[in-house]
Amino acid sequence: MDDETRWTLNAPQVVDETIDGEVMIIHLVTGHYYSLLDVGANVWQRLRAGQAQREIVDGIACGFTGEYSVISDSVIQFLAQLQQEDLVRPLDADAAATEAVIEESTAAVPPPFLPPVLNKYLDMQQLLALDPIHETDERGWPHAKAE
Amino acid sequence: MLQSRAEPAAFFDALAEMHARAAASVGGTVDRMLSLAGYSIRLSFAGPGLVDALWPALSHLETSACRPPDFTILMGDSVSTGTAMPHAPWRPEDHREAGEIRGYCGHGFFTVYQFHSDLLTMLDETRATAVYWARNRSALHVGERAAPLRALLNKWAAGIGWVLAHGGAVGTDDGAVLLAGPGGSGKSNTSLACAAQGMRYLSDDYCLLSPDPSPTVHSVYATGKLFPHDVAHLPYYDQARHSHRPPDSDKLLIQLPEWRDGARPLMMPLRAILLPCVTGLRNTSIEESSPAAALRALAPSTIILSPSTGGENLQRLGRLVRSLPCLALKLGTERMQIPHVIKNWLNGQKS
Repeated sequence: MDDETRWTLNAPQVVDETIDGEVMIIHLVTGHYYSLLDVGANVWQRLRAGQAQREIVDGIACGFTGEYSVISDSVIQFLAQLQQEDLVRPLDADAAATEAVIEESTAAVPPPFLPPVLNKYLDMQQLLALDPIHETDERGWPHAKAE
Repeated sequence: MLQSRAEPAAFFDALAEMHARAAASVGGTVDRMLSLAGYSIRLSFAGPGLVDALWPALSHLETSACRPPDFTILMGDSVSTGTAMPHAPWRPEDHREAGEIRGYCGHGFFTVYQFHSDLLTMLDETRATAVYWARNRSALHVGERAAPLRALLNKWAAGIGWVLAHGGAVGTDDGAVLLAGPGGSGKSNTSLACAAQGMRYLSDDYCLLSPDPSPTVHSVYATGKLFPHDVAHLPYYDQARHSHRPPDSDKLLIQLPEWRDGARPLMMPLRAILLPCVTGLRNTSIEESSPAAALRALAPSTIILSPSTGGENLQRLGRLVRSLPCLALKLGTERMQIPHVIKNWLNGQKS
């Protein structure tokens, strides 16, 4: 991925909702769900608005206090993590960006930069897991277990 | 990827024909009419095979209204009717997450095979008709007996702007609270303790939510589930006519007593979302929480019910948690206190 890479939600298998600055993301195939706060939520907001990687890094660097190189490395690593978790995918270069509004910080002194954290929850995983089909009957219907 | 309606439509026709053949083989259908949130739903059982297993959970919704149904569900099982299901037209690898069948969801169809109950559900939205077919009623999981038709009702509800949510609901004359949280958080104990003390009971585990225009909760099931050791704290349910323990279950299946004196309303306005958690402390209290915490408690286990409606349901739940107070219900060990704490909170909202 390079500075010009833009991202989009990996729909339809991933859904998201933002409440009071906290982002909830649910992966409907794996059953994993995630929450993002603070810098992570801010990165997500920018990503969902269709900003390129460089714009996301610059936006975070303007909104938080810290070394630019530290912020850049951390945000790029975080974007890679989002892609590894299959939550986002690169957007085609000619695709239209969404029109999400980014809430820019109005604080006189930007808050200190803390690396974004992807909080991951696994407790729903077993509810969504693919059923282990051991065999099917002569009409193609699965059996729960051999009888 | 589903290319057209033709294949699922043909399979749905085969299922409907199977239902008719099965009913004819056991003396006809047993029809029940339900009223759910203002909609009439006809359950057409092919003989009595599934009636005893499923009807108790839904019987409080029965209506004598004669108007044509908004939605019909053709129900039955293979063993009691001696009627085999038609050949499955898909491959084993098409059984996907939450039992959804690849290639048979979309274009107005929704098809789920629930492996643990050997249960097929297929909805044709165009015909406002579904087929619900079990291989053997004795194989129905206790969760299906306590809360039948979940996958189907979730999909149907999404089509009319509602959500079949994973949560309990109880209330008073002042309105209802939704109890949201993962398994083991105390939803069932709290709901059933409230019912035992005369509060209005709508659900211990699944209920229907309509976020718009104002948040409302609808009862869907007249059942609850408790561990046997919890019944010791709720002796109201320690009666054979109220509970039994299915062979596949660690929990007792509670049949809520009659919908008497309005104590079992079918619909109530929602006043708050409570997030129960067991503290180990003696006293129960209610404290501030946040809409984000409420969404975390409510959304994942609701969305997982039906991944294909995940996006729209998450948005609806988002609107719901933004529009209501979201509070932590810190459950104490003195269980008799819990209903009073909830009642007092609801009473305090009048001023």
